[in-house]
Amino acid sequence: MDIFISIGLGVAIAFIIVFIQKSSLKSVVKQRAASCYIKDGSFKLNTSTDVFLYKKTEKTEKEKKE
Amino acid sequence: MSALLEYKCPCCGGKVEFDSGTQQMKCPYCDSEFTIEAMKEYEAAQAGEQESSMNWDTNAGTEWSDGETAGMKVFLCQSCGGEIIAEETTGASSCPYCGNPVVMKGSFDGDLRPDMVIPFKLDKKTAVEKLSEHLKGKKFLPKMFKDQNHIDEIKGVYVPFWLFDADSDADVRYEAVKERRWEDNRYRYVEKSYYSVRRAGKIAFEHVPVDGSSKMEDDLMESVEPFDYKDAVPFEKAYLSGYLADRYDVSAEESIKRANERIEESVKDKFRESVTGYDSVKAEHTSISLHNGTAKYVLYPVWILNTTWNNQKYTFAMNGQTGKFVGNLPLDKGAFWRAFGIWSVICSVIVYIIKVFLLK
Repeated sequence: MDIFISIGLGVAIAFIIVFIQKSSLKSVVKQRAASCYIKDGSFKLNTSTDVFLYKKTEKTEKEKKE
Repeated sequence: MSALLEYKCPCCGGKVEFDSGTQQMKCPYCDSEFTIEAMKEYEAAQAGEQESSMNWDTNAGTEWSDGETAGMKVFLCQSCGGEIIAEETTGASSCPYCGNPVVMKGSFDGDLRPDMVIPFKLDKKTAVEKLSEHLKGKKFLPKMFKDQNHIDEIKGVYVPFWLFDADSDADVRYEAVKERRWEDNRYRYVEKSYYSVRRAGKIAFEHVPVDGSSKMEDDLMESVEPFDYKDAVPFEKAYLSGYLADRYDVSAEESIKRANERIEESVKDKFRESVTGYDSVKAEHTSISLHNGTAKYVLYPVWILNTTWNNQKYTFAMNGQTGKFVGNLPLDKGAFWRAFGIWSVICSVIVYIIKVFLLK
């Protein structure tokens, strides 16, 4: 069982490593936003309110240890 | 007869009622309880909400003065339909978009005159050097691509852009949650506290660029951003000398949609950054309105490099002002899968050692 888990995790980690390396081949991407074009000092908040509404508590029973 | 006042439950949307026992508002459907002040604030925030309004004044560009366009010609590519403008003496011979020959179509007139231009700051030699740097250190780049690195064509092109300036007001309401977790011998507990958060304010944008040419790939042009507008100068025909100018064929009105998309995302990001101290935040209603929206027609400098490899065309672009170099590269599939195999073996062995020897 340990061997299967190790292989599974090993393949998943290897997948992440090679996909990060592969991503360096792609440099043409559409810009998502226009953050470079925000006028300096123009951002001003007039209203900032945080109102508490309600609270909910959930509980789950722990597994019983033998 | 007086009208009944109804409040909607922020949790499930049901009608909440005043509970005389607890002296609070209570939802009979989900049993949530709220103070009266909280309900009033929540309802007031929703009542004041407006729909977004993002409108622009798109009267950009001016008319050419008499004789200014003399000597400028329009060249047409009969393969892809691309149209470029150049001085008659530039001797434009091939299309910067597809590499096929171009023919002189006629004199250039009737188009708008650009408002501003950022002149080329970097030369062709720099573009070639940047290409070499771009190819260095790239894993999975086929070796043959690097070795056979020949450029079919390098063209300095002034690309038409519409630049959008605007002041915006935004009003965003969020649902935010704080979590607290604990456990005892028998149970695990998760307590979630729900908040109605509101942020409203203003933010201004200037020179948001949208590519005005359908032939220049939008994602390629957006990838070489940003351009620094401080180097922009009033347009003079002399700047075109030795370079090509792409002809605009996308109007300012058609470009508005893209400008709105980018501005909206930036407004959402900036306002979202101001909501802190919560474990999760979800925007429930966003209202953005634009004022003083104006558009300018400008030319920005871009070096376009085309190369062909394995019968596939690869296009690279370099920002002619800042030197930012972009271009997608081919993948060596064999090298990719070999590396994946080797890493899989190494990582599996490491995980096995950690699991069997260190964790037990």
